[in-house]
Amino acid sequence: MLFITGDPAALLAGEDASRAQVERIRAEMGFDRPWPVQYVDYLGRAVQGDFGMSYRQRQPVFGLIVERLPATAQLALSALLLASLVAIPTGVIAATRRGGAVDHFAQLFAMTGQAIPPFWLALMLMLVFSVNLRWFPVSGYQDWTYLILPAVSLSFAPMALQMRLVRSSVLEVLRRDYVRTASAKGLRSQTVVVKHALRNALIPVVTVVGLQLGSLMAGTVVIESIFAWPGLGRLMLNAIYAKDIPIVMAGLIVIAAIYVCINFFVDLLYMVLDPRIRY
Amino acid sequence: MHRILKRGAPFAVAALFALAGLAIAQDREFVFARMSDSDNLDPHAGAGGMINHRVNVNIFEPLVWKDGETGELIGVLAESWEAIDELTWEFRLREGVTFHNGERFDAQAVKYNLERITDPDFETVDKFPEQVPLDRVEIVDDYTVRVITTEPVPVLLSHMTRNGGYMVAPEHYANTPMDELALHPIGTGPFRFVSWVRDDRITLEANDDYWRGRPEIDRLVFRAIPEAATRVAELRTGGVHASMDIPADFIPDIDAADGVNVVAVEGFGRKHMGINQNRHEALADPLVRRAIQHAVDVDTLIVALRDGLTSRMATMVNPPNHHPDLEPFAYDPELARELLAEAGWPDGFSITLGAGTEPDTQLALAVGSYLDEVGIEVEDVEVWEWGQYIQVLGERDLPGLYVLAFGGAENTPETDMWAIHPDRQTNSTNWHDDEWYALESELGSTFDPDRRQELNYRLQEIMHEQNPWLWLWREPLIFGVSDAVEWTPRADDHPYFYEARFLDD
Repeated sequence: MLFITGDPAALLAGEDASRAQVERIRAEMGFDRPWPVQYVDYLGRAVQGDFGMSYRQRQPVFGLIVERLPATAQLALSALLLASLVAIPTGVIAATRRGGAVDHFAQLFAMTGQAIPPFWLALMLMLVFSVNLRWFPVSGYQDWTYLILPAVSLSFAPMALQMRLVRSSVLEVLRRDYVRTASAKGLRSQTVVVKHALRNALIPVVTVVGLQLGSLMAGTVVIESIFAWPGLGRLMLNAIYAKDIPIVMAGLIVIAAIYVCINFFVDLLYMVLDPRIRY
Repeated sequence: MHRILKRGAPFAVAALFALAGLAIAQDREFVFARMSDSDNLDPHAGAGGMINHRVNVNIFEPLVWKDGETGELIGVLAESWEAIDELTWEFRLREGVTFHNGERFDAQAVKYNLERITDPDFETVDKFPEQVPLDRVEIVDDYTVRVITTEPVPVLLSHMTRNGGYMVAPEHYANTPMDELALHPIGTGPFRFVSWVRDDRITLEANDDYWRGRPEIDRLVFRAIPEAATRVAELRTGGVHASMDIPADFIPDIDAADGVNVVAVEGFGRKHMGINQNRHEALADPLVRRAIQHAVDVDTLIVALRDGLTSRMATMVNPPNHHPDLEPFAYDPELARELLAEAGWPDGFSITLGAGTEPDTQLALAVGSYLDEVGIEVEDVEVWEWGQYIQVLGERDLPGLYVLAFGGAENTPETDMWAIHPDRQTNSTNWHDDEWYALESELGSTFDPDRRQELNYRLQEIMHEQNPWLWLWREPLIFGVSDAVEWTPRADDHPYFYEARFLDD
């Protein structure tokens, strides 16, 4: 990380600092030591849970990251919940009533939802619902009303992907022999779809939703910036610009850990959905 | 009991309404929006960066400050002061001032503060220890203090007006860990700290015991809103009462909206383009550098890029210290071509330009098209990530012409000209002039006002002859301000809210 670009000491000192001052800050921060020494020192402390201090904020970085997690989780989970609540039923209906109105809508939405850039959608939602109609606050992080617009803006892309996936997955499963058998033994079509088809069709969907949650938890810089939402994405972006390396390193470790946890839960969910899967 | 309750009911209801009314009145927050959040509210430890300063100026106070309009030095925590000799300044302190935690402000507090920030073991990135080479602080009596420096500092008072000169509560700061102090500032200013939700908002409340009287507004909130479009939307819907960092492109949106106005101030911050003489031999010739001044239509750029809200500069120095007889160079491409021919470059030459931010890139592109017209071919505008830009700036290896901004809040000739001192990171031009450096060094230790003016003017004349930079303009500070409030921004970019108020109060 130290070699990527820029000099944290020069940045901290500011443009009009003197050379002596930059050198003094370099020594204070320990950047004057050979990099292997710095790296071993970092690793030694990191395994004990000490990820160092932010250069700029002079705060333990772990705390800075953890305090962003609630805002990030709120936004990520609500966007994803909204996406799934709309996408899964719509996808199922689209598949079971292929060629119907819902199917046409789902296909159109699956295309546009993924094509619309989130920043554009966010600004349009803000213009219509905050500036013109005054239904929701423009930006900030206070009560639940502040969550609606960012969550909706963020939900479109995962919603579109899930809708397409559920539709094609259910369509595929509906052609399987066991579904035909279930229908043949006289079960109601609703039971066939929900109990036999959907459950099997959800396996690829769950995988994708897990990945979507991981990427949303890693921070969504654009939406966080537009709605002034104090999430992980903004922290990481500002740290990258400011060359606040301890935040970037610890942030990446936390994000990696989140991905691992989510994947673990997805694997557990497979077992619930398909009892044949055993680890 | 029951009857008493019944009888008391109307009173209780009235009291509840009164309380509710009080709650509404107390909820009156003045919300101020800006692009970035602070990163450290310890005024001594934090980077000298303005992002911390803009909040701190409302919480802390220095001994002396500058008047927002005239720029004259005014006493804040010091009632009077005098230079006893070139190394000794005596301050008579204001009595009866307390910090937000009840600690008393006195000579001992001043001693603690100046010793804290200049302690070599104190981790700071502030420039104060370098600007004020402190020898010692002597306490004459409870409210008189002498500040003794190791070398003469004629503009010591100006250096003390900012972050490094802010007075913090001695007991609290001496006994609290640094990471805690970054989050819980305690000063003597008009507002006291309440809470900070990082990247969202910093909340302050009126200091009831403020020595000049309680501020008019009850609560002051600094919100961090990175997107300009969002800041403007908040202004339009009344979510914020004032916002800084309004790009010139958004002025029409604010003008078209009801209840919000654009307020622009010519700031002390400046924008110029450095001419790196190592990048092309032609750039080392003063004639060529003068040709560059004539080649670029700066007035048109001000209209196009800054909505006409600022004025040109002839050199590096802001009013009132600027040389009154030096005029900015006239736009004259024909003369520029003649000067290039005279310098031995009738067919021109090729250079690249550099910028480290998106708005600076627009500026570099515009300047590039003017240079092309007189035969200086611009091969490329190199756009850098800011952190890397600053690093290469320090290595003095930026492109032929590069965009850079300068602060100027201290508003003294020496701090305005700092940037081209040979020891500064900003002097990436590789320009050197022995006379200039000798005079600059003399100015740095001269107290006599007449001699100071003479030196200052001569320094500017040399800059105007040599033109190591392409002189551009003072950066305008553009704000959006709601009709519901009264608040006047300052040219030194310190958003100060002591006198701000709601108009219907």
